[in-house]
Amino acid sequence: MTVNIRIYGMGGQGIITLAKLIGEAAVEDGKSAIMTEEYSPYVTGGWSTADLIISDHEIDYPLIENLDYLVTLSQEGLEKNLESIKMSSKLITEKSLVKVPDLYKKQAFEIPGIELAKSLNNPKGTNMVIMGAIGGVTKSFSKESGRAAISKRFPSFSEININCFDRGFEEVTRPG
Amino acid sequence: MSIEEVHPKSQFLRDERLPHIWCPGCGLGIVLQSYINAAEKSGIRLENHVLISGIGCTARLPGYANLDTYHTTHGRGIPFATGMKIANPDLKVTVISGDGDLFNIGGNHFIHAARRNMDLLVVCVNNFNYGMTGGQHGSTTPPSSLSSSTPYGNIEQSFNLPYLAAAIGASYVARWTVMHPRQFTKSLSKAMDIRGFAFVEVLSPCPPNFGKFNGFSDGFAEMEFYRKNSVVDNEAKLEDVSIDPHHGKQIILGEFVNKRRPSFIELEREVNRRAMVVEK
Amino acid sequence: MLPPGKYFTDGNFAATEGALYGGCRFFAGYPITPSSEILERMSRRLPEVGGHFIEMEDEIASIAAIIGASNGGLKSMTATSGPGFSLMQENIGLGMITETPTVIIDEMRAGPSTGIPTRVGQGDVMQTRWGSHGDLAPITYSPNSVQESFDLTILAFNSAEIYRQPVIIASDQVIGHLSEILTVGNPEEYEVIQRLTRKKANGNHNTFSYSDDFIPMFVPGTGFRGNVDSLTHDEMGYPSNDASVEREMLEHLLGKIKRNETKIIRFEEYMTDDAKVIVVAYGITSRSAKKAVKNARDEGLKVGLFRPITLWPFPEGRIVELAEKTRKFIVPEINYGQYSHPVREFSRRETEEIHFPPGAIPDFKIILREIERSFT
Repeated sequence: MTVNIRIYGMGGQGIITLAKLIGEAAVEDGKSAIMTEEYSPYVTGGWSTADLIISDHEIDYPLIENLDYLVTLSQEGLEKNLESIKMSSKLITEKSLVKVPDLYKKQAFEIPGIELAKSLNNPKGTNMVIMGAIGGVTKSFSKESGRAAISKRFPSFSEININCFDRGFEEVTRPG
Repeated sequence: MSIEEVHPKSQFLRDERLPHIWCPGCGLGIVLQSYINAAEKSGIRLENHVLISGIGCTARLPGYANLDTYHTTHGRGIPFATGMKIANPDLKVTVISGDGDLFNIGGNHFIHAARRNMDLLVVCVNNFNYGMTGGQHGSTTPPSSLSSSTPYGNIEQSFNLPYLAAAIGASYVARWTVMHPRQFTKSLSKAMDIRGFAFVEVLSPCPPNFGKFNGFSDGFAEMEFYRKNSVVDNEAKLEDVSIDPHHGKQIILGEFVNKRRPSFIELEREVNRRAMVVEK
Repeated sequence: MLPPGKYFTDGNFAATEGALYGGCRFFAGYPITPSSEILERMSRRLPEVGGHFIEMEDEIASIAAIIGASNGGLKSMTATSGPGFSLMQENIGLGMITETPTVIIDEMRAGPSTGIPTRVGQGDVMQTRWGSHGDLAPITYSPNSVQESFDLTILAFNSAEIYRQPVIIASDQVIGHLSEILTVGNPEEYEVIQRLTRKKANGNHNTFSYSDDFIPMFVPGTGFRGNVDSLTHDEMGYPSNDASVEREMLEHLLGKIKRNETKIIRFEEYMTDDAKVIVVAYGITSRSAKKAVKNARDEGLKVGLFRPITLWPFPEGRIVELAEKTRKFIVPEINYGQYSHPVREFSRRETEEIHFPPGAIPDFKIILREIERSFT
């Protein structure tokens, strides 16, 4: 199986870190992963985007052909990618920053990542909440490997980040 | 019985490469001899002396010295030497090159090496023009001088090298002429002992070019001019030591700066020691 | 050293760690997108392994410093991108004429001039071959993955030592920033060529030898008393104006590579055995080309992929062999036609260029369409 995920956000939201952690987690699970990144030339306030392909097979071609999941933390990310969204694609958005048009409501997971991260006393942990949601929705990596990747990256802050990750995971997987 | 002629410094010279390429009346022979004398007196093992240059008449000097010598590209003697010194800090690395090489094409490297207090001795043989290419003007050509590229006189201000070096933070700064070989040699010896960036400027005639264009009949006349029109003032205000002979200004010589601040190699060693502890 | 294992990481990380495996102990560089992460990582890692790092004032100073450091006794490298690589050209020639081992990573980005710093290009390919003035025989590697960024950097250090000259790694912005799996084996699995040196000269202090392809370097500070010169020089390292010395020196510099070409040249082939059409692609473009070839094979088209891993020396012998049973070559590149020239010259076959404008990873469908057109 191959899963194609595009993650879009503004500089400073931790998009690239989030994508790398997902890749690390998937590799830990024994899968192949490839990630290309693009960013505007501005250090702060610009956009950045990461394309992730996670597969059971070796990956040669790094470009996404069929977008399975669009994750966006900015309205711009949705608008820029409208053409790539198909009926079968799923959206994962930051609720407070992205207004999802009615047409896409049914295929969208609107995650209040900022709010949840704040409630867990980790206002910088929004990307960790989103990572949890991506894990829960795409099932492209296991919860255990996601946690392991986070504690490896943030050895001194692993607990508060894992809390955010778990909360995001729960947000999309709880029954009902 | 045959008499063999041997240069008294033969063991320090690559005899097989002599005679040298320099013109009659050039000061570079004096510079070479002064360097050798200084290296001998420096107390540093001769094999640890490395001589590096860029391109130009002066840059040919290392090729005649019987040491480990490196003749690099135009203007790049200092960064080449920087790499060598960091890689092999036991070496005493001297860069000896001309004013055009060190301050025109290589000026950026000079100011950065001085800023870093890089453990190098840089000797600039200043003949106020590009000798090897036929006497064009450069950043050290005094105002109003004639040269093969300033036929109406030089309209640019020239670099005041000791002031420049001191402003950036060189640990040792001196200026002499080739008519002051004893002081120059002593200065070189001292500079070889400096930890950090040491700079010695030495004024030298260029008879077929700068000399000819500016009214000196030969190299000796130019040397005599520098001797007669110079005064030694170690306490001189460096702002005032620019060279401007066409407007009657005296040439100020001396040992202007000799101060201690931590050198690049010392600071790097300290940082690397800490980093290796982190690794363990 | 990086512990053995599996990593999800990018090309810049892999190149840095590969360099350390290869014995790099000195780095001088100047920040430039997209290779800055190599410089940053080196600034942290080199002091940890007993090496040395310095951020220089520009790229000219950087390459002069690594050539100086290598002559001082340490394996050295720098990393840059187009504009910086252009600035380094004169001193790449210095490294060649002084036979100084060193490694230069050039991560190609969109050009000319400043171009688009954050976007991919392959416009420096001819510059790696002909960029510095005079006759040179450079060795240039072209990694197409994170794994190769690691492996080829080790190899580049080995080649630099064996052939005593600067070795270029022509990577690109995508490979530098692409993250994928890097597998690092046990250190003993990697062959690392140690620097051979000559110390105190007993009588004969010739810096170079023109009758021997592989003469070790001398170490300054041991009483060798050698001269190393950017001017045309004889075996003593002494400058000469003599055209016969120039010829002797050049025949040595070019000959030591020419005579060992079969040991140096590396390439990879995919389904070339019965191919009537062969796609020649390198770097990131080779991955798009491979997908195009796979898809074309699914359609029953007899097409193959030839991927030069050493761009230079040019794999002339193999291209000539392949040309015997191939009617056409297709060369997709992220430029307006560079590597297509030697392919055409040596294959003497129809050679179709596909020009991908710098800025993006080539779309495999464009290559596939060209393959399909070749069979109609």
